[in-house]
Amino acid sequence: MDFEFQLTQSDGYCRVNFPAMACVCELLIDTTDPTLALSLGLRARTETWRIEQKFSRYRNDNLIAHINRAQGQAVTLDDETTGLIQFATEIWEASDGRFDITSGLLRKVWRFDGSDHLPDQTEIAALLPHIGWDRVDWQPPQLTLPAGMEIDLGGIGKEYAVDRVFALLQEDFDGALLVNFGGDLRAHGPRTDGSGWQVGVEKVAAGQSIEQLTLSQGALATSGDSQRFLLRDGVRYSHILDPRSGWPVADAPRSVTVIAPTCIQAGVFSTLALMMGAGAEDFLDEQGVKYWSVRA
Amino acid sequence: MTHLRFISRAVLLLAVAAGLSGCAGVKPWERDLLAKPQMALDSDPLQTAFDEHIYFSKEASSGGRGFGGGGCGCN
Amino acid sequence: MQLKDKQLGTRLALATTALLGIQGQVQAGDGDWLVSTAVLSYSESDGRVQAVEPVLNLTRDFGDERSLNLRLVYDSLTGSSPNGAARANVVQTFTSASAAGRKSRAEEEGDDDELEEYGDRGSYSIAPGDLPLDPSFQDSRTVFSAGWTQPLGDVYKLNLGGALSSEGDFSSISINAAIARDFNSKNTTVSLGTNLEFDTIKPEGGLPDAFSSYASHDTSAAEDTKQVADLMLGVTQVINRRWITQFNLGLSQSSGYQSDPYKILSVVDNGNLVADAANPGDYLYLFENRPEDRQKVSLYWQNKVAIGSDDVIDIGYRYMTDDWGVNSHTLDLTYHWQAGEHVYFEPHYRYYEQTAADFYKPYLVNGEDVSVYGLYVDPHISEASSDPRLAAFSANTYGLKVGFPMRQDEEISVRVEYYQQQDNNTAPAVPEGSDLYGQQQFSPLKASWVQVGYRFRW
Repeated sequence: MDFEFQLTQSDGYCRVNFPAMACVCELLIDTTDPTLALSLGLRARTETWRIEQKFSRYRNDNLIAHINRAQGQAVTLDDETTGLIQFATEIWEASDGRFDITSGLLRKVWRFDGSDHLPDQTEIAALLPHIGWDRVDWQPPQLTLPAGMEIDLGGIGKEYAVDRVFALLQEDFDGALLVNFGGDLRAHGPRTDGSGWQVGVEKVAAGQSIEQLTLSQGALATSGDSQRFLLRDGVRYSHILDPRSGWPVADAPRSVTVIAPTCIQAGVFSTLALMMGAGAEDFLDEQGVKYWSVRA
Repeated sequence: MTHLRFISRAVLLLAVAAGLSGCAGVKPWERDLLAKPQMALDSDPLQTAFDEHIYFSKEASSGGRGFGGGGCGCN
Repeated sequence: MQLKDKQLGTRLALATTALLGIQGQVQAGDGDWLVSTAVLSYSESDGRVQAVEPVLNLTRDFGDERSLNLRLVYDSLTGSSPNGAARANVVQTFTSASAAGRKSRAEEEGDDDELEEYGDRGSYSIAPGDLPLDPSFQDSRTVFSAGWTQPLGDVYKLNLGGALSSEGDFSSISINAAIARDFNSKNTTVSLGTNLEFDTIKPEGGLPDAFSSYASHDTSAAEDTKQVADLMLGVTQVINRRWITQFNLGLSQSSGYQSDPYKILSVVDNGNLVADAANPGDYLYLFENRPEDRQKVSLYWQNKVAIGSDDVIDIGYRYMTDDWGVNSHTLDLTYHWQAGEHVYFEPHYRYYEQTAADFYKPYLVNGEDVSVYGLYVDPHISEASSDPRLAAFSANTYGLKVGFPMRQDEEISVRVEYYQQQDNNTAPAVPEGSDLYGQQQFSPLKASWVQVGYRFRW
């Protein structure tokens, strides 16, 4: 990315773009006042960069790195991190262990580069003793991670950032608003002209068909990535790994998009749906949420 | 005068209840239990309304939880 | 493959609220109403009041903590209600002049509907030892209420509402407003509310004059009014992760017509019923009268304590005192037992006791409360009522509710409650062999009710 911040005045609203979280973050603010949009945009960027800095697993100077290097020592967490870990614990429990923030280690052996390279079962088996939230001693706000284990909040970090930025902007702006971080988004409306925000949802396969949706309240998140897979002997291995077996989930949709009240809820629903494999759609039907799944 | 004395005692109790707030530190992530529907102070408002109407028409006391009116001719 | 816990959506919503501090809303296209419906079937023993009461409640969330609540209640009552006269060892006949007039007019005109309605009220007899019940008790009530909630600025929450209620002989209109403020990161909420109610009482045949005789039914007005003003201060406090407590202080002032226009009192002389000089063969009964003003103070304390991950204990206590001399204690206990994902049980116990109002009398004593001189009655007191509601008694309620939550915001529930009063009055002694000898003047009420409810999203 070769830009840091961009403000555009459009038809009755302002658009802010800035790079963060490996995508271009976008804010649509229903105001004709560019000064207001600028100040809101800059604060949104500061907050997004703060969250990214604090929770990214790609850095070695942040809290996550500190936790992962504690070598069995207890780490006392701040309120925000405690909240996120507690949230992840709830979802781990509710999903029978499918959603697990300690599963990131599996990436050491699974590289979804489109090749036909599958890891050995022995490699996977060697990692499994270091995976599983039940092995962790979590006494909020104190976290004791056994040596060799790692946590990764990547599964909820971006959605969390969307909700946080959304709440931050709402503190000082009553009007209609859309926070969109690479397709994970949250909207508040309707706009002063009475319209809702137009959101495009990929309906069948990537780029093929787009359904226009009017969202005046709520959030949308997409999980899945049709570019990341392994192909061997005609079997396609998705990048969705089951932390309990260490193997990819069979017959998962390519991607799932879910509407929910908040972005983090939409994100959890879409992630869990992929982990249900062939049962993804049944699972979402049972939850009574509006969704789009992409197969084929 | 018993009423006045009674009210002052009530106000004192209120002050004690408000004073509790100083030591309470329930963090947002600890609200999992409090957020359950069965933990709502009035978890079934229709049931509460039915019962309050029945007791209003059979007993001399009413209200307390909410307003004690009732809009009922059963004086 | 299925998740064990199908309530994942609910758990996720709760976890999200905990994480972000607020609940989000979805509004993509059509809106959604939370519909709560219930029917109550109420029944008193010994053929007293029976009621059927359906309710429809609609709630809609408009986002940003703004919500609308609409409620419609219909109440249909039939049966018999104590008329206030004393239980005696002799046959008592109750004849009302106005009703008797209507009855004979209806008979002349052949008006069957009118006869059906007033035939009993015209005249009815009560066997020795039976509680005098007016068999013509029949009424229906319709109540419509609405409420609106919205934030006011950053820290306040405003609640506005109103209600309209209508019965055959009674109508009521009320408005209420409450403001609440959160402190201490939403761990403390302080609220202040007020309710104003305006009632109009228009009894059949006009308002009876105080202590006028039942047979003559003297009246100097067709209707009267009553105003009620309530003030309530509340504090809600989150004590810890498992315990939330609420404390309310309520003040209530009502003024205007507070009597029951259908309730009478027997006049008793040395244990015997006094005869009505105007109607040979009948006894004398006088209409009751209550003070025009009433001030009440109530204290209410409620606790909800979570047990384990899904069970809850609910303990409530109320103390009420008023300037009519009524002091009451109410203790309410409910246990929410989440027996499974889709079923819960709630056993319930309530204890209540009250002292009698200062002017509560099971009957009027000739020479003390009133003096009867032939056709002329001279009251020595300004207020008296034999309404069992104003007597001294205690009561126990036992209940059980079973609920079947099917998914978020969808639930069926059934509830049964049993209520029984105990007499705490000291009966005045009467001479052996007199009309009232050996008769209990307070009749403890036994009642039971069943409620069936269904709640869903629409």
